[in-house]
Formats: sequence, C-alpha cells, structure tokens
Amino acid sequence: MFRAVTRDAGHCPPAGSLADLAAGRTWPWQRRRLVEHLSQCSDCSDDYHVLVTARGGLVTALEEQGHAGEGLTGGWLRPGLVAAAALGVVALSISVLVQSDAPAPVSGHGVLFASEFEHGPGGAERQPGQDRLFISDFGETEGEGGKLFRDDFGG
Amino acid sequence: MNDDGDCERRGTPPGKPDFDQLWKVLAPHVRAAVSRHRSRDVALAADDLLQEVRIRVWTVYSGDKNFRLKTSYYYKVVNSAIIDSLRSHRGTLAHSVRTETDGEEDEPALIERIGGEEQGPDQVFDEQHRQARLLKAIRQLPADRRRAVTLFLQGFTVPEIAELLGCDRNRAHNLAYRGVRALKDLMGDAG
Repeated sequence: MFRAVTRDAGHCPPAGSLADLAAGRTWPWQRRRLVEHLSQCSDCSDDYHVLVTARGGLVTALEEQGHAGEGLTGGWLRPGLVAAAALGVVALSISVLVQSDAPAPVSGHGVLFASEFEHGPGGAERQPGQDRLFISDFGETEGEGGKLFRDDFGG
Repeated sequence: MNDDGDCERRGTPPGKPDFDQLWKVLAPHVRAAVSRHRSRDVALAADDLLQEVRIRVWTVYSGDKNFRLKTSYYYKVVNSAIIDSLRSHRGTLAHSVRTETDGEEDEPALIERIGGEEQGPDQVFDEQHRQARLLKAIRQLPADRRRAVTLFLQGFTVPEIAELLGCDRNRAHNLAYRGVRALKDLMGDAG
C-alpha cells in the first residue's frame, strides 16, 4: 500500500546521483537527501535495488579487467586523501608563519630593549643605550651590586 | 594468436582489455540484477536494456584511447546507463501487456478478467482512506524511525538500510523494528 502511494514521487535525482550513491561516492549531506528521496519514491527504490544487486559482480568484473588493485573505494579516496593532506600542510605552514611574526623573546644578556616591541622602520637599527629599559644584574659585571634592575629614567 | 597481436588487429592499445571481453563479464551481472527486480515488468525486456547499457559503455570505452579511465568511472557509467534505461522503459507496461495478450485471449474472457480486477467506488474510497491514515501515521514518527520505516516499506533489507543511513546494523534494525511497531500502534489508535 505504501509503495502504491509513493510511486512516481516526481523530482527524481539524476541517474548519476543514484549511481554515485550505489558506489558510496556521495557526501553525507547528499546521501541524506538521496536516502530521503528513496524512502519516498518507489520507482527510484526499485532502480536502486537493481544497482545494489549488480554492484558486487560489476565491481569485481571491472577490477579484473585491467584495473587489478585499483579498488572502487581506493580510486575515490586517493585524490581526497591527497587534497586533505595538502590542506593540512598548508594550514600548518600558515600557523608557523603567523607564530614567527609574533614579538621575539627577549634577547640575550638580560637586556630588554623597547625596540624589540616596535615594528617601525627604525626597529632594526637599535642604538645601544638609547632605548635600554632594564638591565639585569644576574651575572652582569656592569651595574651596581645588590640592585636587580636599573632604569635609564633616573630610577 | 597471442594477446598483443589480437589487440593490434582490433585496434586496441596493448594493456587495454578487449571490449567484447569486458562486456562478456559485465553483462551477466546486469542481466541478473534486472531480471531479479524487474521481472514483473513485461515491458522491460532485459535484452533491450542490456543493449542500451552496452552502447553507453562502448561510447566511453572507445573514447578512452589510453585506457586511463578508472574502475569507478566505468562503474558509474554502467550504473547511470542502467538507471536511464529503466526510466526510459517505465510507463510502457500497459501497452506491452495489451500487445502480448491481443489475439491470445477471446473477448469475453478478456472483459471478465478486466472487470474482475476493477475496484468498486467503495473499495477505492476505503483504499484511499487507509493510505491517508498510513501516511499520517508515518509523519508522526521521529525522523530517524520514519526514514528507517519508509526504507523498510520500500523493500530495503536491514543491511541496506544501515548502509543508506550510515549506521550499524543493530541500530538500523532497532529503528526499523521500533518504527514498524509504533506505526502499528498509531494505525490501531487511528482506526
């Protein structure tokens, strides 16, 4: 009775879409849409039954005819996997580049320069002593003993 | 004669299988599937369908000069050809049945047979009423169960439903089983 009601539902998907579904070559959202149609259309369900019944024999026969080792799934997945891997590498490279563009860690010898936080054109030309903010006294010979930091603003 | 010589004689590049050989292994599977599911469809002669599919595959095969097309592509071509052929033959059943029975059955018997198949107005009304109740009950089911039940009613098996819904067989079985049970309850309540 249900099949009599749902015969000829109209707006049937193209033959290629059903062929892709039978081959397992559809995206999940496409499959949902096609399955919804199959459940509502007896004609397409009948057609799809034919494809499913013939599937095993056809795939085996085609693979034996000169395409040994090239499975149906492998043929479909291989370009997808390569594309996904390439996308991953690109995303990783971009994230590394973005990270390397961040302010560099404090330079050596315990001296912190204001120019290290500035990205102006003069940032690279650091004048010794001009923008010195703090000097560490840990292991430094310069400076007075007992004082951890000394600033150049009279502090 | 060796294979290479045979290929050269037929104009087939080395390594590319002969079309007749390819079709010889494909045809039985297509024929078996069509015969199994569409045997009731008198209009759909399996030979006609096979011939149409063969032409489509040959078109692709002859254009595949270097035999670079993949298995998946040939598979899609065969499947698409099957669907197109099935769709093109659909709707010619009535004409075919009439043609086959003409001349084999005398007129009174034919009238009696046709009259016996026809439903009266009350039967048509009951049938339409039941159909409307069934559709209404199906619409009341949760989406997952509704999908599983309608696929089940379309004749799909539990493994096929599992494949279509992208879930395991146990879940597909539960959805279909509980869906049918809920459907029975709904139909009982409505009736």
